[in-house]
Amino acid sequence: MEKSSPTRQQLLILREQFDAVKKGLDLLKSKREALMKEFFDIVEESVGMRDDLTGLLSRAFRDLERAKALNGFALESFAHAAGRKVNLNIRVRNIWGVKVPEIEETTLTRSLEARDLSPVGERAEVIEVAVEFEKASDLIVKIASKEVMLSRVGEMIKSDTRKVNAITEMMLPAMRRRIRYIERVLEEREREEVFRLKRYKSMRPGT
Amino acid sequence: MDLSYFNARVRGLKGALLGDEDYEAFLKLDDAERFHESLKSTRYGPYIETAGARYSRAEEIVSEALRVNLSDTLSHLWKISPPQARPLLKAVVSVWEVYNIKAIIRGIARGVRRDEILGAVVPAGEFDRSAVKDLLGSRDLNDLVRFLDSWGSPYAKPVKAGLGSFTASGHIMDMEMNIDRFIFGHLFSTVGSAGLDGKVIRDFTVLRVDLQNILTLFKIAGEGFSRAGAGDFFMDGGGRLKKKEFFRLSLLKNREELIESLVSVIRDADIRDALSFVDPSEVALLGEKFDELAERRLARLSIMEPLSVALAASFIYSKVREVKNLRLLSRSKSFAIPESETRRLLL
Repeated sequence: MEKSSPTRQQLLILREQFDAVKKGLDLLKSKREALMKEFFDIVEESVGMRDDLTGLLSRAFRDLERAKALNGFALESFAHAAGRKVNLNIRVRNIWGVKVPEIEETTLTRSLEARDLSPVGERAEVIEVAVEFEKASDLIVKIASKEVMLSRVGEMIKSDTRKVNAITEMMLPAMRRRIRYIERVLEEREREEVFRLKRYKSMRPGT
Repeated sequence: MDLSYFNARVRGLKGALLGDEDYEAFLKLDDAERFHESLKSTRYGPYIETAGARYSRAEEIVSEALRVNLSDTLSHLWKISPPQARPLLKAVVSVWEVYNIKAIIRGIARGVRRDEILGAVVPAGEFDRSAVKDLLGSRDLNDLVRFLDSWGSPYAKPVKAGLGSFTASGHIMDMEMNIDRFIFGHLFSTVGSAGLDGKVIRDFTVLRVDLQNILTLFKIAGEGFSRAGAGDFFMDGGGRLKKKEFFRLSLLKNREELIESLVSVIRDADIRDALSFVDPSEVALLGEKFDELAERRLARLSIMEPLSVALAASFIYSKVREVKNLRLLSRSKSFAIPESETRRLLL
């Protein structure tokens, strides 16, 4: 902390600064709490979605193996026709001043018509496998978005915690010490002043 | 039509198919390598050896060997069949012809590498191995149509009719739908109904149309098609499910409801049995059940009419079933699928 001359004006400035830093600390703590709440909400949602994904993928892979076994050729031909490019839009969301990237929700699961194939001769299990994997892809995109958010919010919580610690452990105690020092100096000066006045009075002739 | 010599040869082919005791022995094997080895001692041996030169994983080798063997068997059957029986056999082989032409169209339209397309087709009937290779030489779909046209292939017409839509929007659905609609009409017009063989194949084609329409209902259930939209998928020529009923049932969103309604509409006992067996959450297996039903019916006919073309038709279904079973066994060994599940899925 910058050393300054121990004057009354300096004391007032320091007290003002102390109050401002305390208010800032409160704000930082509330921000961190809000971020933590957001973080745990995202964690909970993300864990739930990962569980769903595990279930979905294990079913999808089981059905894929079955379709490969029973209709492997049909599955390959279906896959040739199913290839496509998928565009994902990423927007920036503001959570308590933290800018986090978020993948815009999009549906990758296609309707029968959107597959651009005749359903007439197509094997039902092949179509079902495609639907299951598309549903899994939808979920993967959602999870990716949440996990990017999670890592950004987590980083911000870490940085805020560092700031809170620096303020509570270093900045505020140093300010408090400086205020006390100035207060002591000023009190000392006041006592000297009183003593000087008393002395002056006793030295005056006729008293 | 005298098919006695042809049928005798088909009986020979049928007799060489694997039996229940073979499947039991395969089921008892511990892993994919042992299955692979024991399959080498069957007539699939040479195919396994050839596929082994191209692939390294056991299940890939078996899959390729089975694909080539199925294609060779269908080509052999086509070659040994008397020319007058071919239009009748086409009613069964057309399943593969349609599958092949669609696979080629999909691959070419989406820019898939030609060797990858080749790995997904099962050369059969009109599209034998050399025909498939020629078709895969097409630069684009226009070129493909020119090839088909120059061969006088009946498939040229439906493919050409869908070219406009493909050129305008890049969509191949119209082309595929044209092929699906065309094939049944074509079969009915070429098979005729004269004679015992004509009747057998005509009845079988009617059954195929019905089964196809029922399966389509399951695929479009809950997809939100309008009455007219769903009507596009109805194939004419069936006898057990009328167009009016198809329209009504296509509006049902729930599979349980659909099964119940179909059971009340369809009079055919075998189809009703297959429908009652199916679990609404696993309708994917209904297609296999229906194939089994068609095979059983043809096998029954081949016993009742031993000199008819039903024997060859039933052999094709039995051969396809064998290939599916062996693929299933191979994958179940590679991916440690429980024996009970494999047993349930064995056809």
